Amino acid sequence: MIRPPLPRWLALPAAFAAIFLAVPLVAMLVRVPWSRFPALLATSSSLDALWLSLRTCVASTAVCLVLGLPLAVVLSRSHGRLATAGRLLASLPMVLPPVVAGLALLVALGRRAWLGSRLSLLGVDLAFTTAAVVVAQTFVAMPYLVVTVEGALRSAQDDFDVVAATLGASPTTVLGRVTLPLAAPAIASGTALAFARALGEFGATLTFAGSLQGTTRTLPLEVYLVRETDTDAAIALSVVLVAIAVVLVAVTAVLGRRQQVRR
Amino acid sequence: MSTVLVDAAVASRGVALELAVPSGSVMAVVGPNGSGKTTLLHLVAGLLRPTEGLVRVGDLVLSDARRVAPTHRRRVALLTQRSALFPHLSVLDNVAFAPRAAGATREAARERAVAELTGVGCEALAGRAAHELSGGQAQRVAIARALAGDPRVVLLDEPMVGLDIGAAAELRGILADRLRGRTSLLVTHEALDVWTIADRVAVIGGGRVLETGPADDLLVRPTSHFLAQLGGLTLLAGVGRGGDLELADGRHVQGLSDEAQPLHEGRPGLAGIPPEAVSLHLEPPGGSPRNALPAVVQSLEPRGPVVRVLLDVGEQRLAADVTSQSVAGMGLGPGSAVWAVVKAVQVRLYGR
Repeated sequence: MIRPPLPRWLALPAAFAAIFLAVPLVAMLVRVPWSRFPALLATSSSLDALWLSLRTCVASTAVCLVLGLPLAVVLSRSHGRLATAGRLLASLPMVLPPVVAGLALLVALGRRAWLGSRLSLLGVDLAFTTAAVVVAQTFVAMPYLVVTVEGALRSAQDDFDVVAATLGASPTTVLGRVTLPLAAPAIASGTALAFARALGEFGATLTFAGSLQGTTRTLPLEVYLVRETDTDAAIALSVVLVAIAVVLVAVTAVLGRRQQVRR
Repeated sequence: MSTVLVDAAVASRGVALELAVPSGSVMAVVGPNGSGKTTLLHLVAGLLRPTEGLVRVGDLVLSDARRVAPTHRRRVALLTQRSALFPHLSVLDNVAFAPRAAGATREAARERAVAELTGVGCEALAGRAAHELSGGQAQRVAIARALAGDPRVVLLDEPMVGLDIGAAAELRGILADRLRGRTSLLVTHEALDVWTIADRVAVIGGGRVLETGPADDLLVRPTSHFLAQLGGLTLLAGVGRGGDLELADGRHVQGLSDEAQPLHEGRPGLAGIPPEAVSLHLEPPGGSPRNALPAVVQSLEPRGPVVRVLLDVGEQRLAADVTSQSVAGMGLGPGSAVWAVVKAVQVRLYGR
């Protein structure tokens, strides 16, 4: 079938948008001091930030999976006002300014806060620790996983869960052997998105966890800090972030396509 | 024992069904769309809660108005027209699913799956993915998957719909073979399915069970209930004689012998006659070798653009769809004597 063509003038704003998105990235890649690249990354503060970012992102992504998957599954099967409220709540951190998210975390979990003070009586001090970085990242990243997986589960129209039940599978078996495996592409792309969001997290981390080298100063914070004194180092670190982002976007795209094929 | 007893009402669907399926028998369920057939299956499968009454299998009450045993504890398999094979599992693991869910080891479950696949002639497909199967193959695998769980009751909701004629005929044979002796409920619109697969028939209309009885009786001497609910074919029973079907009064019906279930000499058989292929005449027609049977009009029922005329042909019943103009032109009414004429190529002869 030959589809009716698009209006030709549409190419102009479309091209402009593409250029607009490309220019800053290209400009940065052009400015990368490739010859000094390894040396710029090898400073102790850079390596600390890199290592901290990797550790915290893996941890927060794991927490997103462990807690976000159950939430996504429950929401996908819930109806009514409570479910609508739950969905709204689960996606709110996506649209919240990160600094507001950080402030909210501080007010809830800070040392003098209601919950935080009780936690610190138990010997758990969150604020300005690496754990606080993980909490901040999890708070802003989990919605990406929940929304992606919940959407996939809800749009799956085939009643494979009913079929599995008529074959004698208990609810746990249905979840483990049918529902989650069928949602695997969505889970993978939701995980990639959550990881990417955690990696880029800045405002909430700075507000809630601060910026201590090796403890809470993640890559984005390091980039922001060195930008004023050493632009080249900031660019080199940024390139690392861009590379990780490209890989994650590619992974999500491939998984998304595989999901379409399966349908 | 796995006698199924349904005596249940679902108020929101306007359904109150009372039905008993004897242990080990295959009950065909016929009736127009929206009459409550699928509701009946869902009540047995535990996918629907009765507002009144109960569902029992053997001595076990599965549902009543207060409690509903969950579907996965019922050992009731459900097969629909969509085979719904799990897309992330191979054919073998699809069939091994129920034994695995029941706690069998992977090896034992796969062994059972191979046996069930062999039973439906699909053992060669074990390694395939679900999307690599044709519609007929997928339905056969779905049957194997349903039976691998040793269900106490098998529910089938129009499993042949959507398949091409060849695949449907094959599946019909497999179901006849694999369901024998298993307590089953088969929803269908086809008289041929009833004849091939079922021992008993329940006719459902308007949310009630109108009548039940042995399949053979209802097919050979169909009541108007039964005939009115069937879509595709009406059937005349007789004996194979010289390639034709000989009726009780000695008249012959000519037709094409079915390839999957051919008519045999001296053996019982059926002629499947589509109602739209039957024309009615007041005089016996001459000329070409057509099937012409003397008949008496029993009742007339308008069905959209046509009128379904139910005819008595000897002891048997035949349905004819004719235009209201020709009904008026011939002055047809209950008791009118007519000739029912069908071209031989539109008649299919089946043996058993």
